[in-house]
Amino acid sequence: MTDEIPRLPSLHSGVVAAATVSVVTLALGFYAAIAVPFGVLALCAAAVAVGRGWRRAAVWAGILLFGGVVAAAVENAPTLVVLVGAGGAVVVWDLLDNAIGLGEQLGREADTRRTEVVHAAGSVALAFAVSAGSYGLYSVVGGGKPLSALVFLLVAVVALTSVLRT
Amino acid sequence: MTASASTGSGSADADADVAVGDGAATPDPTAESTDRTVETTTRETRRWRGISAVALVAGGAGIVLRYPSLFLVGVIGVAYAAYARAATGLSMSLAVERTLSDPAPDPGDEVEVSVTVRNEGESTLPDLRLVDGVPDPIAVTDGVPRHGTSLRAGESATFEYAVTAGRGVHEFDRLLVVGRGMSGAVETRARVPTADVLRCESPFEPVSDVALRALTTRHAGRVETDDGGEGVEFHSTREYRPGDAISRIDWNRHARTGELATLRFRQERSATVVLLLDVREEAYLRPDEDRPHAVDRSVEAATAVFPALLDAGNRVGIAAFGPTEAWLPPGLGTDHRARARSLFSSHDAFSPEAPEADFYFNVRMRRLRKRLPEDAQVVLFSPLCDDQVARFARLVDAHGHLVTTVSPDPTGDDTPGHRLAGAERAARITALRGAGIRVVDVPAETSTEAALASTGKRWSR
Repeated sequence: MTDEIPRLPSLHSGVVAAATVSVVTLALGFYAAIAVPFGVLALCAAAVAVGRGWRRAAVWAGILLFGGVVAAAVENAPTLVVLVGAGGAVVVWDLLDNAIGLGEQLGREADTRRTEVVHAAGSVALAFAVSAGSYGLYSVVGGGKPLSALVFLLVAVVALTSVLRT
Repeated sequence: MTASASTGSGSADADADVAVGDGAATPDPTAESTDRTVETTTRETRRWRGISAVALVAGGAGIVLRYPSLFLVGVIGVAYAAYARAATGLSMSLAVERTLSDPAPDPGDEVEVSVTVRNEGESTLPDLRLVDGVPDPIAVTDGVPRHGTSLRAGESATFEYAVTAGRGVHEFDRLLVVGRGMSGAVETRARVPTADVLRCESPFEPVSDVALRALTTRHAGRVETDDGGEGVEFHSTREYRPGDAISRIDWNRHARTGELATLRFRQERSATVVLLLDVREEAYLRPDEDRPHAVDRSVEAATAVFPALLDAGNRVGIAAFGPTEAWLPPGLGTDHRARARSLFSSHDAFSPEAPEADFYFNVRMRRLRKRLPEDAQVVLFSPLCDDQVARFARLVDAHGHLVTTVSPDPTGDDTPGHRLAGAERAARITALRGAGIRVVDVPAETSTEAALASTGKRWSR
């Protein structure tokens, strides 16, 4: 084979990622206008990630959207919207990164629709499950004594993360 | 396994049934060869690294700044980290079946390849990336030999593409599989061995006529010589000698002058010919990537010349002038033709890939001289793009093996460098012709037959 394979990410995942960025940006922007510029920048980063196949751009798309989520949280957006936004940020990065990986291994011309659809469905479903789980936790625990419970939770989080990282 | 169900319908099927998981690879016992093993590697993609850091930052900020929603974002991050952490290597069990629309095409034909992969395991494989191992000399002309899919247990996926067959025996010996779980944190790579063979042989259709030089054996044949005697075409007359056949007496002359003279005809003899192919690395030249290189064209020309010479009653042999040795002594008959055919299509020396071994001119030259029969003439197939082969042609000619050179032109005219190479080659051809060696220049896009016919017209006997 002498032809060069175009190692660019598939467009389907890119479209879904862009749609996710838009939905999350709109939802956050409804409550906190400061999240909108973050969302727009994330959209640009996503476009670069799909157009050029840069992993770093995919990470930036996720981080910028996450920045929008943090900003919205600081502006006191509803907890559920913030949680869905955070899940959305992870989904955006996951879809873009997966598309770039597919592009690197199979090229843009290969038919990869099925695995992309499955991956996107799994990623979105997981994001919803995780967001809903955290929100459930918040509704149950959030009413009582906040500080001590939160500190214990923090300790638990630190312990869990350090265990997970080894 | 579908091997028994799908063979025998004119298509080449070879199935590979492979289970991959926990390092235990079990190649299918019905596969053609048992020494093929599945190579599996599992590695972490580490694509989720950093998610715990984000979780900690968000959670910590949430606590310090007293934003419960930010804190919960941190919880989401931890959940994702746990999700990535929980990923394990996939246990894949795949049956691969490849179908070639024509397992024995002619060179240049398009062959459709269809690959079906079935998930024989119990579990769903959410992310499968399949890369078919297309042999290197083959060009994919339509479709893509790569596919991404996800397969439930028992489900199968098919992808198709088309290749253009080049001369030689090409083995589709593997299918690369990259499997990922849902999170993509762990990647399992497997190399599924397959055994589909694309056998692409030259058609072996003879050209109508090859003019040989006047170096012949004692046996009757069709090469016209300069000697007078029995034959068809008038050669000369000489004085009558007692014992000459009455039928050969020139009666017209006797009627005119009363003298007896004997007619002589051009004698026709058979020849011993060795087709010598230049397969050195220097001969693998082509004007651009899309066109066949000179060795392919030489072999194509030789496969047309060989049967033509054989059909004319000559003894024909084959030799390679290159680092890999190939030698078929001159011979006759159907067996010989079959041997030559398999030599051209599958011998390493005539491989479509340029050789890597070192080439020693003097050693080859000596060995070849030892092997060439005394009365053998040589037809050399070479692009004539370096001086070594020109020197070789002169040496062989000087040793008494009259040389005819068939030279496929690999030079292009798109850059000054290419034009210079073309001019050098033209000068080399002129020099060879000046030294009494016949050269048939076969330009690109011209058939060997046409080139032989148009050049052959100019040759004297």
